[in-house]
Amino acid sequence: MQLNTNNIVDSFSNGFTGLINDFISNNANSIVWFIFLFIFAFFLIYSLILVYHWLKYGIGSFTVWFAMIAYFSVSLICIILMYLSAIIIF
Amino acid sequence: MSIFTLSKDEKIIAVIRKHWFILLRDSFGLIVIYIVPFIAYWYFFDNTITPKILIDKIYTNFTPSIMIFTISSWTLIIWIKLFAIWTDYYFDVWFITNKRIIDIEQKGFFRREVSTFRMERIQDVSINIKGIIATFLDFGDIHAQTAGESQKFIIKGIRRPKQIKEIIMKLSDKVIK
Repeated sequence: MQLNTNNIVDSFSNGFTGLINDFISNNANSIVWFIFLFIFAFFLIYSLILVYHWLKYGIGSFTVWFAMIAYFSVSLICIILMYLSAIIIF
Repeated sequence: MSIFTLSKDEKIIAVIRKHWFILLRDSFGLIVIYIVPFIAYWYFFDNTITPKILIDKIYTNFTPSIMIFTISSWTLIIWIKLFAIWTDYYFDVWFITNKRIIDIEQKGFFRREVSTFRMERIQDVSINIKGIIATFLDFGDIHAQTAGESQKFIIKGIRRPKQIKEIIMKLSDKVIK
């Protein structure tokens, strides 16, 4: 009896990817918002720590103020883009 | 200055930070990590070696809004990490006063070491400039031996090490005299 390995691999990969596809398509909305909130929380925690250090040790320094402006400007643009694209996706 | 207090007749002569190349070197890995997904995407896009399943799953479903979401998320993560590296770099600082050297080292977010070396205890000062880049960009390490203990202190990757060495030697001689 000859074993058709191609069929086995196909059926396995179709079943596996099908499972992932079903999961993603059924929970796509939640996944996108979960990623958004996760990254936003990461940003908030890191920003708090960074701002604490900048204000405590770098107060009065022009470089630190410039860094703060650059950091928050680019971050804000990224967050707005993430939020808007998350809305557009659904 | 909240980090340390100067005595009455003490004044800051120089504030030293690491060379900008050190920052570039420390953030190079992060920049590579940032670029790799873009290169991979464009390389595998419409490439014959890319399996059909990948093309179907990734490229055909990658609408502009998903792409913007992915790029902005990735940029934000890397941007935050970049500023964490910058903070570590910027808060590593040495203050040379007419009486002492104050070495402030930021190690990560929650470890900060402040050491003080009195000028009269400084004995030998040597500099170490390693490699072609350090030679051309004029940065290197300063090694100073302190008296009374076998401890050496090292200021790594600073700009113009020769001038800084001269300043330390002059101030040390002045204090001893």
